[in-house]
Amino acid sequence: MTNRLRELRVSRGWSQGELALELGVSRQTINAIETGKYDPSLPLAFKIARLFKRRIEDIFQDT
Amino acid sequence: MKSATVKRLGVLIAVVCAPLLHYAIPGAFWLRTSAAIAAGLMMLFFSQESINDERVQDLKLKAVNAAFSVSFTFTLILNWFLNRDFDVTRDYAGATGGYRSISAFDLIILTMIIALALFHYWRALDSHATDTLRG
Repeated sequence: MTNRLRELRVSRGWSQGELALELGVSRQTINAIETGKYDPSLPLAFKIARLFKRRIEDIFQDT
Repeated sequence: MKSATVKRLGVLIAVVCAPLLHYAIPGAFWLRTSAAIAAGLMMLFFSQESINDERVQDLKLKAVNAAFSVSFTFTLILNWFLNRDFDVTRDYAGATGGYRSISAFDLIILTMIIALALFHYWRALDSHATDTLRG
């Protein structure tokens, strides 16, 4: 699964640490999601979508 | 009990107490010591991390899954070689002087060592990638 998390994060001027703090996860988790090593759980995906005010499908794409 | 305390207790039991007691108590044998070491390692692995988010839980699950597969296969093969004559009368503690078989505690010890190594290695990879991809 691909995602636009890094693009959205950078557009807000946030570091990975700051985004991790907002979402209540570790920086390593954000990095793992951005590099495609890990697909977030549904609750986390919803949190991300709410934070960036986008739909989940706009952020995460099934490849 | 705090997770850090559980971790320290696990390390104390597995790495310090069990081996010390093994040599300090006369007549101690590996089965008893290995049970203590297995318990200590399990406390160490299954205690909560300081940051216990879903990625950590995912890595722990993958680590124990891979570790169990490897250690179980290794144990099966090793047991076969150690007990080729299938002598069911052989004393487990090796009192007859023959080979001993691999116990469940040995399997747990091997699994936990591999799982801990894998988990911390993958965690370090995540951290390293984080450091090089800042911003």
